[in-house]
Amino acid sequence: MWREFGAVYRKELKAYFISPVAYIVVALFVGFLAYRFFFDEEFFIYDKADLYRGLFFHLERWLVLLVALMGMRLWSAEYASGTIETLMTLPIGTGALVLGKYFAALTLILVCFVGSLGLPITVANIGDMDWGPVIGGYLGAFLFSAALLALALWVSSLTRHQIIASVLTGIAGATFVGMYEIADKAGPTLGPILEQLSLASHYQAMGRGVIDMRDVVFFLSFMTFFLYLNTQVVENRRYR
Amino acid sequence: MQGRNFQIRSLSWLSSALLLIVLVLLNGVFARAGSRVDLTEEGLYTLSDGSRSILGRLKDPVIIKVFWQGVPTRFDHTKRYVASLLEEMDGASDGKVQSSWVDLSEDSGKDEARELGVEQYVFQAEHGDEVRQAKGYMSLVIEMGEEKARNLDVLHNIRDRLEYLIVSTIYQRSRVTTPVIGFVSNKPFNPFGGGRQPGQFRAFEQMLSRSFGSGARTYLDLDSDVPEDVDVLIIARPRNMTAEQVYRFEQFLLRGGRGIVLEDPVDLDNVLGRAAQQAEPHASGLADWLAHVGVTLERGAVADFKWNSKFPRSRTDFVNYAYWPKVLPDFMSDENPVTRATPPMSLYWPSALSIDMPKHEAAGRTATVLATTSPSGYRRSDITGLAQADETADGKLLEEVPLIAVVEGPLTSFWLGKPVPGSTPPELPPGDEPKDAEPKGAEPQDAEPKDEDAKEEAPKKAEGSPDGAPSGSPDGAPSGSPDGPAPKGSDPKEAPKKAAPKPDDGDGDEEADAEEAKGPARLEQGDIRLLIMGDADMIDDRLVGAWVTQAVNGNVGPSFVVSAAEWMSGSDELLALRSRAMNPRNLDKMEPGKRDFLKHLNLFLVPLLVILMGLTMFFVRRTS
Repeated sequence: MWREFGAVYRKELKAYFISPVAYIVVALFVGFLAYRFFFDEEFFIYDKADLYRGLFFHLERWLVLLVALMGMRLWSAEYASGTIETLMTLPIGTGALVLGKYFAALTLILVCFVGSLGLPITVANIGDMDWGPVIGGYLGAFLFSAALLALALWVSSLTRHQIIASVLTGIAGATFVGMYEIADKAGPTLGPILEQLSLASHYQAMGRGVIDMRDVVFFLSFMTFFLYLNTQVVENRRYR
Repeated sequence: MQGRNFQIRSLSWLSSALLLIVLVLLNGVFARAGSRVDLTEEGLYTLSDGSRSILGRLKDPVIIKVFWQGVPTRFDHTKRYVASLLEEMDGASDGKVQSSWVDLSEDSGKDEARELGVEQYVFQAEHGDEVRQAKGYMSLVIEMGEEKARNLDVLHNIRDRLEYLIVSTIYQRSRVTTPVIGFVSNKPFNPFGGGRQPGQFRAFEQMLSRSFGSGARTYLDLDSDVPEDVDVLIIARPRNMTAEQVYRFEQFLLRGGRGIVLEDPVDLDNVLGRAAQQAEPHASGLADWLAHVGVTLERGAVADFKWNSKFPRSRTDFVNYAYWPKVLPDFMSDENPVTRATPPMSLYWPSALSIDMPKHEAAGRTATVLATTSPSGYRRSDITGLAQADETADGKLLEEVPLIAVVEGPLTSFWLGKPVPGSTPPELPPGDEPKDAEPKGAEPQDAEPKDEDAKEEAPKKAEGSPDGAPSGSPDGAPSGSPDGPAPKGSDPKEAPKKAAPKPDDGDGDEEADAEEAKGPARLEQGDIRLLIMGDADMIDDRLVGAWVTQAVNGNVGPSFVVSAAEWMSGSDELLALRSRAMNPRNLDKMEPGKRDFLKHLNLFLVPLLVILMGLTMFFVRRTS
């Protein structure tokens, strides 16, 4: 299983970094975050050595966009180009296929985060920054992306059209992010449930430097569930 | 084949549903366990040991009602924090702190809010590109013993101090003995309306009242003796204190009271206000007495050219201003519990302290410098043109300048062997007369406090005062108290003759009346504890309430003084809690050019490197 996983992972990662896609995605994402941080959020006027307001506060919105764009091709491209049939006949387990693709895409997201480390390093050099919330923020953003990517991978496995996959992921992601925005108006019964299901509420808590096991378990559960759904979809296709 | 497919699909759905159930249960289990790691340096989101200790000793239940509704979702992390904090408090108090979230969708919830004085606040809420205003609740109410103890409103704004505010309220309401803290400022409250003059300390007084409850005496003055029950007396921005007032303060200290003197020779008015044209520091009337104690306030103001605060040119344009030095923890004493718990604190045109160490040693006292500027501090003796923000350190002598000090130990009265200012020299019982020889460790005595500055200014304010020092109340009005100091214009040496005797109350007990008129016995030596600093602007309403103080420089000054009062009164349990969340963590001072460089470096460097890597890969692949 692990050898198969390793082979798929390497193949997917190579595919990313051979094409210009990965470089463009990383460069655009890092540049965009830096622009928002220094120009849109007016970091120097705010005059605080922290990243919460400038980086982590609205990061989930941009992560929905990033993951929707990155996840759209994971299965859809295989369906559209017909390589899925070859893939299905290879002696590789469905789990290894799903996890290989998933972790390769997750590695690219991780590269995006590593590229943005220039921001905390800069801030730490010009002020007395508390690294705790920064570590929490990055961990939260990573877990948030990982959960969303599992959703994107599953959505991508449902259609052969990349654009549809991307739009559906965007809508589903926005729904899971935005749930907590309507939680207050949903009344005392439904409100807490919506809040609990929202990816954003779990992410925001980490951004202030508190790693709550409830958040971590939620993200891991979310990932596990959608990765499992994904293996079921692919498995069903194999036996079709 | 179709049947097999159906079977596989059914199994697939079933297993997915089972997995979902397992995961929901797992989340439910962890929701109850609720373990977490607080990564912040100061442990901001974890109940501190001090709070645990206070809550652990609670005997009676405390009810905390949270009113939260209609608040935009961007504040959800605050809601979450409030919930987790209350949960922790519940655990730490062994169930004594009980919290409930009031259901405001029902009329009964709204009625309860109204009854408890909880108001709705207006929030900006984003709807797409539109920004609308929405009303919502974001408060909590602490109830102890079926009584409302305190409302805490707009929880988001006080999130970082919430633990302290809740625990301190509980602590203050449940402690057996409350210290009594007196507060004396330079302008009395106007009983005929109009409140106080500008530049007063209402916000600080409210903070004192919140911190010490009924123990806060914010209306004291020194026109009569300091009440017996006062433990700590804070004198803020003294102006032209009379010898009588200084004497009363000294007597208070000698009988074991603790003092905090916030001298303020250079204040907001000197630099920006009405007195700016005079360009003369204010006289406190305390200078000679402080010199006797062994501490002198140097003329002028102190700057720090490296660590300082922001001065607002407009709402969005701030410049670093050297004469608002920021005292960093690195330059505060680690040994004192107050300064150990104080985050970076902005001072506003403070004056330097000069401490006469040999004098303290000779008298057996200790004088400890609690805070200094950084090594980039600068003493400026004149105060003309102090408002100019663009002054540089070029050509100036830079050094660490003492800003806050505490004096502890024996002190011999400034008036030892001299008549009590403004009243009859007390007749000491036979054998108790002061000897010719001064007691061991006694300081050299002057006949009267000779505050030169006070003398210069005195004729303007207190005409007719023969010794130059203004008599009566600081605003020049004659003293109203019949047994108070000598009337304005009287010679202190003749004062005993002129001082109005306390009228006979007609009870026939003349001996008792005479005793009463004499007042408390005069003390000539005692152990004192006195904290001195050369700034009071940091608790001035105009700066405490300023946006730049609250949002940019950090409003640490008032908390520092309250902490100092707590320490001096011996109730320092709250000290470690108070200030840990108030570190404003501002950016270092930076030239605009460097800012632009950093902005563009971040904007272009990494993206260009990534694209360069991509191009390299492309050409490597092409050539191979």
